[in-house]
Amino acid sequence: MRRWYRLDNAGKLYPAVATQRNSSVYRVSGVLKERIDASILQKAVDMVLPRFPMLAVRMRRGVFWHYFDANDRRLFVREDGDFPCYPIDPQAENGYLMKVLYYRCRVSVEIFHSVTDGSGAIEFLKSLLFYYLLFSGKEVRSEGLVRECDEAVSPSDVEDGFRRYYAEASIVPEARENAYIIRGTDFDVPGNNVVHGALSASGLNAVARRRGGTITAYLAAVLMRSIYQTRQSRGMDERPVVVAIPVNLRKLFPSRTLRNFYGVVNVEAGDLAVVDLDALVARVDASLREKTSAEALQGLITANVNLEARRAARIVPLFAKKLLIRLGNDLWGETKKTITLSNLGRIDLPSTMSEHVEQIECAAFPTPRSPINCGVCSLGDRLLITFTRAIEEADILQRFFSHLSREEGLDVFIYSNDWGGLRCKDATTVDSR
Amino acid sequence: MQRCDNCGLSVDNQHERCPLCAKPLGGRGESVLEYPPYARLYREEKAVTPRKLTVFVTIAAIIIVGTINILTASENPRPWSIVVAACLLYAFMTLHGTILSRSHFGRKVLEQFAALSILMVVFDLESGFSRWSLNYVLPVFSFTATLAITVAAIAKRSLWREYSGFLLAAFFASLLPGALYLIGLSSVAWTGALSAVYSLLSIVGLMVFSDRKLKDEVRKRFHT
Repeated sequence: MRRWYRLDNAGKLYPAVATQRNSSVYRVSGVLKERIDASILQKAVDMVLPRFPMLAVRMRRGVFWHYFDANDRRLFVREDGDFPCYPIDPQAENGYLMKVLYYRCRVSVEIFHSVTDGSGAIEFLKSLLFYYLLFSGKEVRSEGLVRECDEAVSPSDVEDGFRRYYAEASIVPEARENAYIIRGTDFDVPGNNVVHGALSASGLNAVARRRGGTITAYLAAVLMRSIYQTRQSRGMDERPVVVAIPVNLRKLFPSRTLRNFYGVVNVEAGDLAVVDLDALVARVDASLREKTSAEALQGLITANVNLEARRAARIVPLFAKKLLIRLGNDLWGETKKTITLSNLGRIDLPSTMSEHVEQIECAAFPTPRSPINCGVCSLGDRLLITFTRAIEEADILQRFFSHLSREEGLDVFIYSNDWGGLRCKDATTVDSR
Repeated sequence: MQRCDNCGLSVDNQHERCPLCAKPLGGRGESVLEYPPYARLYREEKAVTPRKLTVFVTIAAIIIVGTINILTASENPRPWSIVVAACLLYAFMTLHGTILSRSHFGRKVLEQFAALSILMVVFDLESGFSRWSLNYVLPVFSFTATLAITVAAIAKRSLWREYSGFLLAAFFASLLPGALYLIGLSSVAWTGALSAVYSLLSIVGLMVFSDRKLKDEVRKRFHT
């Protein structure tokens, strides 16, 4: 087995930009129908982690780049106590850049984004839940949908998709104007509030089709409109509302990799004042189609890899690189988008498993310039839209969910971790449990 | 299940208020979807911590000493408070960066090397800059740093895994006295040469006595 890995192209960004306010840690969770037993969960982690060697790593500093060293120490599961997407301190995690947490019926996996993307995390979560259910005496079968631990780790699991599909070409990135940035009041105690909205996947799909787009395009359009409608009265500037949408590259560039393999496309739709929703959805859908075509995504891979492949860039020492990457991210990344909408899509669980799993949730981390981000995934007919935010204002979320409920007639069920809300403030005086 | 009429949404029973508009909804029930209570994270941050206290004392002392220095300038025009300030900053750095810090031993050694060297140069400048700090102290310190890292690496038997990067950094630091001589800042050649040679020997020793992991480690650390 390989003992060390280079960081992949996307992963190189995060060690440079991660801070207390931008943890670069996302979360995927599975809610089961009964309380989690910590010792069984630990057994499942011990079983599953060797099957995912690219997750069982610690990050080290090289002269020119960070790299991952295989980590043979044990990853301990812990009861959840921090807010979602809390920064990971590897020293406290036996060197790991990930956590496995449990609370009541929920198992959460939090991963530093350098290690893998949402698809890789979901694969891990699926295997983890599979062995958890198996060890708790449930009759579950993988049905070819879950990576089992008796399969050997294949080189294709650990391949760097960016390198595999890199086609050398010189690409001049298009110059884009700065996007509207959502401003708000920090929470008294800085942290992340998550609000989940659960609704019927087929219902949402029908609405999106009727409006003339995919679920992702439709949600992006509603988001744009919600941002515009809530913020225009509060002195919104002229800058466009841009939704950044991470795209899973494995679909167009076949790969079974469990490392990062995604690209981000930015979608905007011009003047939101005059566009009605159907037209907006159509516009977003068309733009998304164009930007996720094979050629466009090939261009994206090439442009991203070009940034690190230049000889001059490679030999810059790590500390200087860190500054340059941070600067580049501020100038050409964070300022060019208003919000991130990450749709992990439908998660396929074997039927023997899904009867024990209530739902799957995913939470995208907020950053100072993108203080509200949105994660979407579905299991069966239950689709979850999760907003993670670092600011008090819930106006955009409220407008968004109310639209789905009032104007589209969808039944939206919401719940939250209540960060910044009464429950947290009360907890300081009287612990309610 | 409860309903928030203001938002037009169904709200989970765990919530006393709507999570979006804070409208009161009624009772607080149990739910499988509940998150932890976060009481630990919400606890008030203490106003006085040892760290804050030392930060304040250090800043206060520097300002007071500087003020005295300025007020007594007619008696003694030398900027002696700079030496005191440097000592205070060094003490602060030693307390928090070395004694209380959880960082790697090799890193602490290199940080101490840098901090002590700067302190000595300040002393030297203050006492007329006869260059004793650059001529003798800096080479001795770099020698000591290299030795400390080598000893720790041998004692912990993890030369290549943990210490090679620090030893390499110490090697480059040991070239500094020689470099200072070449650009004319220091005036004694043999000390600089000695520290560079000693460090070079450490690196050579590392290569000669290392096992086959060496190649791997170099490849990892230096991949571009």
